[in-house]
Amino acid sequence: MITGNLATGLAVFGAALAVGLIGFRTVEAVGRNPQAQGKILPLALVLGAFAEGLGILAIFVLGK
Amino acid sequence: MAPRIPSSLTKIVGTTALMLASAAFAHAAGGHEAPSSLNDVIGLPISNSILTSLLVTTLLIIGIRWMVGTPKIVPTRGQAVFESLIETLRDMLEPIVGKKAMPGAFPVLLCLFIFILVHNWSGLLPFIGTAGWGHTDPETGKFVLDTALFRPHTSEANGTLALSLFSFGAWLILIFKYAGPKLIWHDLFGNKAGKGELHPGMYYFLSVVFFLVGIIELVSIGMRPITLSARLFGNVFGGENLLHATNFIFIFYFLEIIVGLVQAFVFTLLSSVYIGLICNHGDDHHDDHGHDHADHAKDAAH
Amino acid sequence: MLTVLAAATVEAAHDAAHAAGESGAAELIHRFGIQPGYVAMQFVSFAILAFVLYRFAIKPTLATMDDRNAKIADGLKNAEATASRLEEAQKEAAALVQQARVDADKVIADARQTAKELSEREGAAATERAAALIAKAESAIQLEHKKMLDEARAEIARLVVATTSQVLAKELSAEEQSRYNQAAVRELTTL
Repeated sequence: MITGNLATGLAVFGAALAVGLIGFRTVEAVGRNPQAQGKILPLALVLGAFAEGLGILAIFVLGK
Repeated sequence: MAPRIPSSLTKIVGTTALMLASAAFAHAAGGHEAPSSLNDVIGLPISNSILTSLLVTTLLIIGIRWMVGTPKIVPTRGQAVFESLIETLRDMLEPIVGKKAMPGAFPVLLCLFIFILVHNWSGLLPFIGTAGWGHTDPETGKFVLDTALFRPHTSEANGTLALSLFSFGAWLILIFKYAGPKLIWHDLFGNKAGKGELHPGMYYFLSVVFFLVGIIELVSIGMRPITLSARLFGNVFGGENLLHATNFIFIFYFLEIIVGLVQAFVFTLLSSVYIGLICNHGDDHHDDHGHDHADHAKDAAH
Repeated sequence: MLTVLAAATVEAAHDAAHAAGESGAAELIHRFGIQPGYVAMQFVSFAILAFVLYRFAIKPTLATMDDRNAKIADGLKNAEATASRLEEAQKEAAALVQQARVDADKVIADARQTAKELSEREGAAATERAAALIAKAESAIQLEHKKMLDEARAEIARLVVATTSQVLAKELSAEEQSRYNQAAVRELTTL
């Protein structure tokens, strides 16, 4: 059974995909160059926040 | 709303204790995004999250004062903990904010981080968000919480909006102090193309484009407090609901500990990125590392 | 340029999301229970924390940290200075020791020289003294010998005179006595 708002679901799906991709590339980057972890981590967090922000925005706007 | 309960404090303590037994079964069943006013139940004209906010803020101030005391050259244990927090955050934020604006921006960012972190984690404490007034659902026989006595500051929109407005106000003050109106204007609407390298016509066309982009940027800046607060609110509120809905399964509990930390980080980092976007370019060419970082962050922010 | 375009697109997306929200903005505000009074209260709550923390924890702690860093830097500088001074002192000491060694060698050489000279001088003096003694002894012996000879001559002369007088059985006059004596002595001297 599927309930809820399809648009919200799609938006969150996109956000989740983006966060996943960011995490994937972050792990890869840190694996390749462990010394750069200090630089990569804040960047990844910020990018993740932006991607996730869109998802949350969509939930608020669409998920009534 | 909660059934009206006589607003005498002694009675409330009794009822609260009673409710606690079944608090674990309390479900945040819709309509709980809004903070509940405590006016009806204990006669205070504040919401439950404001009560928590004031209490936790007081405890935080006392705690940190107790940890730090009068700082000494040879640090006490508490002072060392506080100093290592300062060191870590400073090392992380300095390349983003830039050396110029760091002295002004750092205390605000540090306070934001500590405040948000503690308030995020306060939602994980017993009683917070689970103790309060409610009713027993006649159909399922489960206890449903209507008015929580405590709600974390960051789990409702008023609190996060206040935080992001504070951050936005600090941002405005900092950019005018450390960058100045001229640089801000250039950063938003100015033509960043090299004048000598392009055909004059092309250059003036680009000026128009940059101006239009500046207007869009302005809208995006106006959106910042909303997105900033919505992100924090959504994460913490969602996490709280998740915990209540799963009866505080320990996996999600640990997840929420991490989310609380990460969201505090994200809020602080984004605030510093916003400051760094205006205040941290062109001024340290020698600082390759910082510049690089800020550029990346800039791309990200767009 | 590309980043600018990308930025524009993302901005547009943000914008669209915002516009869609605008229609239900009032409803959202109601749903989330946003009230200016509450927002103000939360704002004040954070402002209190920020002010108190800044005034009573962050500012003094940062000052202390700077202080400590300055002190450590000072200490390091001092340590460096001390180390260089120590090195200098060691060099100086080594130079002094070297100088002292040279001096001592010289003194020893001098002493040796002096001692040699002294002993030579002493030796020469002793030889001289011995030679003098020997010479003196020789001359004394010679003198003795001569004296003895003289005495012997005188005795012999006297004996000659006595014998002669006895042989001649006559008293010799003083004049004859001295003549015989002298003759005897002359003969004896030629011996």
